[in-house]
Amino acid sequence: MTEQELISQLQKGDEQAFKLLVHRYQDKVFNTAFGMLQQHGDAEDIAQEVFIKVYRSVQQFKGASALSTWIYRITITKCLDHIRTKKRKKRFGNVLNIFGIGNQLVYEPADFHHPGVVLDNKENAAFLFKMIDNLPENQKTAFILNKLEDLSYAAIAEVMNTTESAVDSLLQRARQNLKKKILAKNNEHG
Amino acid sequence: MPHAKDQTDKILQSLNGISKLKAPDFFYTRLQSRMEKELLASPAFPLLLRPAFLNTCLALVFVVNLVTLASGNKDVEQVKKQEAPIERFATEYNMGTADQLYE
Repeated sequence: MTEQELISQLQKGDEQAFKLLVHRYQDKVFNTAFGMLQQHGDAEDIAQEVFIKVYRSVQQFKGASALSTWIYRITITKCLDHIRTKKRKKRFGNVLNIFGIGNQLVYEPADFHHPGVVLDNKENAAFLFKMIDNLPENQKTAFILNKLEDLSYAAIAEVMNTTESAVDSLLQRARQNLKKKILAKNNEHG
Repeated sequence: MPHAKDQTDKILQSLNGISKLKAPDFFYTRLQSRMEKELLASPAFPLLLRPAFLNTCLALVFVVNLVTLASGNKDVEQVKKQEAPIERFATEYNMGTADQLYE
C-alpha cells in the first residue's frame, strides 16, 4: 500500500490501515522517544500517545509533508511536553521540600544505558546521554534525530520546521556544548 | 591536555554505530487496549469541559443574575411606595423619626 493510499484508508477509519501504520512506524517512534526520554516505560507510553494522536487527527492531515515527518513531529512534541511536565513536577516538589510541606524524595535517575550501544562504548555513551539530557531542547532534538534515527539534515529540518542551515548550526552548537560539558565534568572529577 | 581532548572525542563518538531499537513486543495489542479504554470509555472532552456545556452554564448564571437584580429593584421601589407620608417627609428632609430622637 502506498503512503497516499494508506492515508486515505486511515481517513476512512479503516482499522487494518491503522494497524499497518503502527507496524510501519512503531520502531521509529519508539526509538526516537527512547532517545529523548531515556526511559523505557516513558518511551512506550509516549509512543502509544503518538499513535492515539495520529488516529484522532488523521482527518486534519492534508499531506503538506510526508507522513513520516508528521509522525516524527508529533513524537518530538509529545516527548518535549513530557519532559517539561516532569521538570515542572520536580521543581514543584523541590519548592514543597524547601517549605517542608512535601516529603518527596528527590532522586537522580540512574545512568541510562542504551541497549543499542556497542559494549566497548557503554560507559562513555552513558556519560554522553547524561550530557545530552542537559542540552537546550532544539539542540537535543536535532542531535537525537541525527545520531539515533540517522535522519538527514533535510529531514530534520522538515520535522523541526526550519532550514537545513539552521539544523547544521544547531548540531554544531550541540557538539560544542557537549564538548564544554564533558571537559567541565572531567575537570570536576580531576 | 591532549589526553583530555582524546577522551572528549572518544565520548562524543561513543554513539557512532548505535543500533536502532525496536518497539517492545505486543506494542500494537497494548496500544489497542489503551485506545479502547480511552476512546470508547470516555469521550475526548468530558461533559463538564465541553465548550457548549460551559457556555450554557455561563449564560444561565448571567440570566439568573439579571433576573435577581431586576426583581431586587422592583422590591425597593415597592418599599419606597409603601412608606408612610410622615416617614417620606422625614427621609426627604434628612430628619429622624420620633423614635430616633429619643434614642
